Amino acid sequence: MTGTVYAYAVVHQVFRSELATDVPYIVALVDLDDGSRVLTRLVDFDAERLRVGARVEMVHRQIGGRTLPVCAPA
Amino acid sequence: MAVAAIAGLGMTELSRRSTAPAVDLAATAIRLAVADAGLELSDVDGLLVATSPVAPPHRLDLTVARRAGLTDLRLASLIGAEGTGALQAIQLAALAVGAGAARAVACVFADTPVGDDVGGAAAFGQSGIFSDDGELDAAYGAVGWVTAYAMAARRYLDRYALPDSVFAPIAVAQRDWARLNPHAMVRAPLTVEEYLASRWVVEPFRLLDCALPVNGGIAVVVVPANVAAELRAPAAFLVGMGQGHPGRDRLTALALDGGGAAQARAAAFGPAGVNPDDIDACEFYDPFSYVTLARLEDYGFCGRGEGADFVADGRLGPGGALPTNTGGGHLSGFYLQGMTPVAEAVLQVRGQAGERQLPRRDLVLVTGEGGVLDHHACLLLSPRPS
Repeated sequence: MTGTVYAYAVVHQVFRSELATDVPYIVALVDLDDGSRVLTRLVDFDAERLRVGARVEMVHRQIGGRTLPVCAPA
Repeated sequence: MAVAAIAGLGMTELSRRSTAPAVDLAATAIRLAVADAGLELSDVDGLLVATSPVAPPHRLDLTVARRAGLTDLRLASLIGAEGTGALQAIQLAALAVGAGAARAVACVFADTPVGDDVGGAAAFGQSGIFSDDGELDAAYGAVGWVTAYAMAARRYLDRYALPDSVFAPIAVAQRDWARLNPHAMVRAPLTVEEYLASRWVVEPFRLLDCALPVNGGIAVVVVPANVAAELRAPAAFLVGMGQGHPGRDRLTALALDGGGAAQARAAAFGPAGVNPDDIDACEFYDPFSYVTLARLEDYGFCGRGEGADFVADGRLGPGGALPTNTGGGHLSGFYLQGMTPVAEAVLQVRGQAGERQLPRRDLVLVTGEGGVLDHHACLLLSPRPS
């Protein structure tokens, strides 16, 4: 599944102790090509490619001990 | 022609430390506001309590009436409307006194989000902003109101190809105002360089882009316009007001089209025949710097995408052409939701703003925000009824 970044933000603040090892991390809203908009994280992005409108591909990663769908550059 | 006016203002001490419970702060604020208006508690026959969306349900309820010494009320209700509650309470109070349903309505907000062991990030780091149950938000770490607003700000910056430093003049202008306000939480001088060196919270927001939550309470008393004209204290007449509630969820609320602001603006400006040029000062609900930029555009002070240029030359600060958030706003003043801009507007309109008193304050715009650029409310205040 692929999609397009609708919005993103780079979280530096540790809001929960279990997120302390994750910061900074990128949370995002992604418009998937099936028309849905989903909350996710962006992974493997460098600063140059990170922008609203970037094309992404859904992959799976371990976050907080769970396997969750996240988005990497397409 | 205004039908109602704010005739009294009461503010408790504000603190970043643990304080008395919110209900006690609210009661104190009400007593102060009633006395400020030159009224007796027995003159007040209405009470509208704006509740905080981040507070547990019973932190502030109608027991405040008893604690404040208000009895035999003809109107008493809680207003839960995200961050727009304070402005909505004032609007409903104006409608009530205009319709003869009450003679004097106390509108109050108080909150105790921070404490000796609870800072702003913990107090406003909730889950459930993006999804109803909050479970997915927590799993991804998409928590905190700042994160949702940061996404909106990022969309704005990317749309117009702007650097994150465009928010610097807003933070600096508000600090310049805060330096003139004895109630402001932070009054040290601030340079653009110091702003840029402040730590990231959620990019594109640095620490100095974020509101300063405090514990405290603020109340106003709303009376009919003809009554206000005869009271001892100067009044702030409500010459315009509006609300807008598009009803979006957070996945669709970041459209950058102003959310409820367009509807609120039309309702407030239209009947009063007001244009942006007529506004002498703005008191925005500005939990994050970007919100000021967005609302300057949404209210037509400048075009879409022009906000960064508009604020760059010190226009919003002391001596600027459009004084904005003249008490330091939420960023350097204090964050008590909608009552922060309301209190500052009332002080300015009444000519009671001390060192920061504006020479021109015939028409002041006040805004309220709720639910991440979704709910919106505004007031137009003037020292004259029309």
